[in-house]
Amino acid sequence: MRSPLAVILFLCLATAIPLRAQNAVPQTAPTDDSITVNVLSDRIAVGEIGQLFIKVRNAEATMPERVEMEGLEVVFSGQQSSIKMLAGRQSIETTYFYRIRGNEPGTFTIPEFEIRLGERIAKTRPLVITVTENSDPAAALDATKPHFGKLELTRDTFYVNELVPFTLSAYVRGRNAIHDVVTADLRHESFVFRGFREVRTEGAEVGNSYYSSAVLPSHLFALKAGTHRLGPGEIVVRTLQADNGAFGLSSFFQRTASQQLATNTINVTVKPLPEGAPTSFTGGIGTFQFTATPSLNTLGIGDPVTIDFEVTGVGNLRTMGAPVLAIPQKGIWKTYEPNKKLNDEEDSDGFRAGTVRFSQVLIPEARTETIPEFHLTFFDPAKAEYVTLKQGPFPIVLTAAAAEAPAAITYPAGGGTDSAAKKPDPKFDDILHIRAGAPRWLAAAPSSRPGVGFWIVQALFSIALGTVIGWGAMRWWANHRETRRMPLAEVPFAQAMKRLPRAGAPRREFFHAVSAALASWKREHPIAPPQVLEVIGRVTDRCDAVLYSGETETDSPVSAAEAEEFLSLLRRLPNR
Amino acid sequence: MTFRLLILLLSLVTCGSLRADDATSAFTEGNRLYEKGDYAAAATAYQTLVDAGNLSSDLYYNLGAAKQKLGQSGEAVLWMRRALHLEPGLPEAKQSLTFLRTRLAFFEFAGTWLDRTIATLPAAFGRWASSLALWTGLLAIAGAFVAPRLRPNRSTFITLGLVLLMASFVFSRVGRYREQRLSPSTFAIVTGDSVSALTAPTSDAKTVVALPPGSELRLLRITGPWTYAEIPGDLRGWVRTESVQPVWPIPSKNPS
Repeated sequence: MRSPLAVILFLCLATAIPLRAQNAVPQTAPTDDSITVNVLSDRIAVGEIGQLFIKVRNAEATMPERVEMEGLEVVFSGQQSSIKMLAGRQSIETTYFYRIRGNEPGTFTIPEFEIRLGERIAKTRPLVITVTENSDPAAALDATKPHFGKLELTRDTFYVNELVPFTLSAYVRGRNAIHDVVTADLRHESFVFRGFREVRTEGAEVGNSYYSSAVLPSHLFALKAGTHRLGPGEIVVRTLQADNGAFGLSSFFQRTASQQLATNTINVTVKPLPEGAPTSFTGGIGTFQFTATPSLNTLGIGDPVTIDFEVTGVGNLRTMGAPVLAIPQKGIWKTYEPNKKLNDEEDSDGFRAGTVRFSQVLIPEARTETIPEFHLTFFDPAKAEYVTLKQGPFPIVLTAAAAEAPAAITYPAGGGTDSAAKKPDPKFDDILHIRAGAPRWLAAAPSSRPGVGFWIVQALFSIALGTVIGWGAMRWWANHRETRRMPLAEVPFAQAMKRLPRAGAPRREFFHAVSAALASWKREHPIAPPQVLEVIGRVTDRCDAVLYSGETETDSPVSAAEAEEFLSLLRRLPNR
Repeated sequence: MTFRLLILLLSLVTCGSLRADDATSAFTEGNRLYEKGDYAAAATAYQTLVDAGNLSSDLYYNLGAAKQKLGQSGEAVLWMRRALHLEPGLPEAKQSLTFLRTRLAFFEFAGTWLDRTIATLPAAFGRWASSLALWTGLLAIAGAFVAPRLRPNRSTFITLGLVLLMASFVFSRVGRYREQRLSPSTFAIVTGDSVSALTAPTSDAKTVVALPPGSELRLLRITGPWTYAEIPGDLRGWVRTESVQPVWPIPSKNPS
């Protein structure tokens, strides 16, 4: 009785095991007897690498390098052959591996594709793959997998430009299973990532298995507000292969293999900075303190002074600009573009404080007594408000050369002549009291519009100019009319004597008139004594010498003595 | 006839002095209210005198002080600047502005030393200097050609005349620059709180810069509710017209 029951139980078990195996891998249904198409898992996470393998028996296959399809990346990755003896017959089985990777969540079907087996063509069967979004870092810890990656952010809601620390971790089952990290990568066009410069190797219990882990800390900040999916990140690690080795020398002959791990994704919300940032906001996000130190406190106009700023704190120092002047100083201080110095070693990582240094050159252009106040405004994400820090003003002493420059800042009258030395230091903290005396009422405000006085002056000047020009014109007209009425050659001697200019007239005019008068006398006295003619000849020669020799300045005024000499000589000429 | 004319003149003089006496007593009443601490009533009393067309640096300064006590810092700066326009050396206004500058950190046009020098010149300087130089230059040139006694120094007089004509041109340009860039009529003061200059004349435009009360602007174009203005620091932007007031002239309460 026991024996048939045992046989039936054995038969049931024998039937059930293959059925269960078939359920576990439901997609094992080859369309061709010699071809088997399988996937390691029909559900993979976004960015995770899955595997498709095709087994071909007793035939040499030519496989495509890539299966073209939307949504999935299916790339040939290698092959492996084995020889088996089945019922005394040799059987060769070759397995072709394809790497599958989904970049977007969804359900995708790998279409059937043709495989050339010697001279005949075989077809694979279509396979359905579901790509899931794994946005939970806790769910990434999947003990069913021999290795996996994990992406963790300290927070999933933050502001634009706010520094957010994160870690990429690689997990490989087994103690000391990770040999080293080859590369790690996390990209997004809306984020700026700091490179991975540190690897911490640790171990962790996941499920009931022990995993080795490599943790890569870094930090990021977002450039654009909105909701973004961050990840999956990629980590390539070299793992130690579990190999017994020959003769118990496994540790000596350990082999390594590269594993590409994909991490989970994280949906983050990036908030824009609040409106109404002060003008002194220079892009810093975090919590900071700053100091300002002028290089000089005694200088002259035109001498440069450098202000060294040191900003320390936790937050984004990369997007931060230098502190700015509280009030524009155009015409008083000439400012230059500040210089920024931020070393990677001193940068904040979101946990530890960092330091950035700025230096700004200022040159005084006018007389002033202080280097003005500087403001540094940053956004504190913890308080969700803008915070303004102030430094200064810094008193300075101007050298003697500067004292001659125009004053840019004036104080109420000091009363002394040596105001620079005696100027009081006012400490007023309110406006002055009202003016209580009797007010001075004005008839009109100062205006650039011309008044009556202006037009009176214009009229007087017009009259003066008109008089001068009119007098000149009349004089010219009189001369002109006289000349026309009585040509110079026919002027009688008496008339010529009247026309003689007085002392002070230009020499040319005077001597020309004298010469004309002598000519008139000679015309009126055709028979004259020889002594008189000789005198007239000498005087005429002298006139000609003045007028035509070019040796004397003809425009210079004739002196009174010279004029009198010639006039007396002309008066003494006998008249008929 | 002569007697009637005398009576008329006497009555005109008496009316003028009576009007000034009324204004003075109203001013004193405003001062009394201020001393009592009733700043709102004092400001109203001063404002009534201003609206009546009374011009006085004392009145403007006291109105500015009352506005400051009422917390209207932008208005306080405006009236102190108006007081300085009537009396450029008014020490009280200058000192109070220094205090308000420190407290409010408002923006001001710094200007070059040349700007500051030109700004100290009288308003009519350019017109007077230009016309005097022009007439003198013309007379020198005309005299050099017309007067025989000047003929020996004709070249000197012509050179002098040309220099004066050039000086006249320079003075006229200085006067024009002062009127267009430095005159109080080109400036306005931000009197509202939380005023910002925007990149466009719409409320949802981006901010160019926040303007503390008392900030100085140079008005470029007024288009209804929006004014395009030059801001110290070589900036330009649009501000709401009701949040700024010109330094001079004082806008009339009765446009008619």
